[in-house]
Amino acid sequence: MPHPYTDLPAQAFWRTGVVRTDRDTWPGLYVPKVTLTQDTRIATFGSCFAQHLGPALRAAGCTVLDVEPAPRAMTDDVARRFGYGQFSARTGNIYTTRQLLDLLREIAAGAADPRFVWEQAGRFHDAFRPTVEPDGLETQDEVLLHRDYHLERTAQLLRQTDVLVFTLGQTETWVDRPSGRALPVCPGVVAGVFKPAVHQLVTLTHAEVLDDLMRIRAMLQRFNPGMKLVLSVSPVPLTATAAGGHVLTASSLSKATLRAAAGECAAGVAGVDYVPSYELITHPAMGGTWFEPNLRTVSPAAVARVMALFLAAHGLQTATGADAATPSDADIVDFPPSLPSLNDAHEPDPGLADHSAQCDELLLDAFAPIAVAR
Amino acid sequence: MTLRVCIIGNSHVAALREAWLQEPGRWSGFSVTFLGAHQDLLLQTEVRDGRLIATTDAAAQTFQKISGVTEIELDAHDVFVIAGSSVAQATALQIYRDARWVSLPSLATVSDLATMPEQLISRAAAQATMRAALSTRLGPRLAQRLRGGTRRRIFLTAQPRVSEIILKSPRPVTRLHNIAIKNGDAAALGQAFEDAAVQVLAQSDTIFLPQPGQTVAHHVLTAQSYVKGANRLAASLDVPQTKDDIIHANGAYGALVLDQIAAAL
Repeated sequence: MPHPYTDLPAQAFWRTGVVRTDRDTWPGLYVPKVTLTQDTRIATFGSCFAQHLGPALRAAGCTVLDVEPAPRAMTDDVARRFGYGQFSARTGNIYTTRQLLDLLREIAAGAADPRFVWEQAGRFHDAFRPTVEPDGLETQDEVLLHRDYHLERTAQLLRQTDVLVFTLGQTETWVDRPSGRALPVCPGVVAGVFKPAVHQLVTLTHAEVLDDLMRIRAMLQRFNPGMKLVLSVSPVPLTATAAGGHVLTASSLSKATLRAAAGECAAGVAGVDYVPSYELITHPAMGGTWFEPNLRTVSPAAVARVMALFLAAHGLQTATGADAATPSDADIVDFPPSLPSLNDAHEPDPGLADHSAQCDELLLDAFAPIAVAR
Repeated sequence: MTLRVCIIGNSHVAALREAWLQEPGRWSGFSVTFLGAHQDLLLQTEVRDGRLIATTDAAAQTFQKISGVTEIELDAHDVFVIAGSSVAQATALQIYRDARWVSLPSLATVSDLATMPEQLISRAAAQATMRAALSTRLGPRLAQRLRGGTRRRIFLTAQPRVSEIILKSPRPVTRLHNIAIKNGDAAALGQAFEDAAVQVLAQSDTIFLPQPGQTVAHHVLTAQSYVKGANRLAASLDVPQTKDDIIHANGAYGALVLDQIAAAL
């Protein structure tokens, strides 16, 4: 008697799809719905885990856009400290769907909002990316100038992007009540002043994340009707929760919410795909220890594993990463194109492929009580 | 009391040595030991037992051939002056190649920043880039090495800016100098470089002496009268630089730098 399970492929069954499968290559685990080639113009945004994507894609010969590249004379260390080379624009980490949606709306509005310039010890910070200028800027006007520049460059980016790879980080976010805008970091942590009457903790629900994703998708297509969206969920747990519970359960709630919403969006919307990087690192079936001893930082081996499987699924390298290309100058696409170099060859930052991604929320860790040994 | 000065550096030592030998009585307050070596050969050294010594045969042979010494006893000198040694204005121009920042006057003339070919960066990022570049150069590295072995005063005199002859005879490698002058950014770049040099050298408690003002042309160049007739750093004192040289200064320039050192002492 035939039934729906009769002709299913091996990956549909736990025994053949997990227990007896090739657990180096995980056949069938990720079958791309959105195709990437070396000519696809890719943009990357997201939480700190997403900082690994650009270098890996470039190393595989992909066309990764960067509209705010580091000047060629800037060293890798300086570039990293000032937020260059992490994403396709100098966005800083975008942890939540609400943050990305707000950014797209701000770009559409076309002007920076002076309410979101934070002062700290006589220096001024962009509230939506407070760490890209580690010492802040000299005046409020300068922050607005840089933000307007960033918004316009990001608009240029989106108009030429074929595929946006967006890594969802968490669901907890601080929101400015009067404007409703989501902030990447709680005011007072990096800069600004926390005001209980103004700043509200919001934990986005599944419905809200899904709604955000749908709106993001619609807004992206206004920039480029053909743009596709590839979603992933960061495997990096929360550094801290302000929601009142334990950070572990808060992390689980956050990741489960994001995973479910991303999956639902990818399943229901043409041109939206989901990459199981979260599962590849956190699922017990993956074996191994894919985190550093702090149980939060993803190990270089784990990043390499995810990227190898991702690239292999697109035919860009083998699943074991054996034929991974070496990053080269030609892999970086600047916009506008860079001037010819007189000297000082500008290499992409291979260091970003290590485990030292810049995570703003790690600053929260400084506020944790000192652990008491039993 | 005569101050014992050790002047050490790359090919730019030649201008100071030439000045010293031409007018030894002009700086009667100090005696000078010169130690020069081309390019980064001075990094093939170490401080051991209170002496700066060569660690390679190539360095030892060059020190002997050019300066007649093979080592410098640190306590035998009251002051150290590092000359040139790649602490150069070009550091600011390298970041200017594809970046602009708010203190540059030309930025005010740009109607649409987002479409300019250069990146808008912060002045802090520009300064950090310059500092990072300078810290890898011979001068600051040598200063650190010397500081590891002595508490005596250390000065570093800037490498002369390139010759103003490039305004008449442009070179591919000086295109940015012309652009900076044309854009009205040269003064700000000159200042940015000097600010960065001061900050980097402060890490080794070394005092930066900027290029003498009267030798500077258009803020990022050296007046031709201080470049014409420059000699090479060689055992012989009168080996002229090649005709197309634009980065070395002459004895007249060296004399002004020695005046500057004397004033600082």
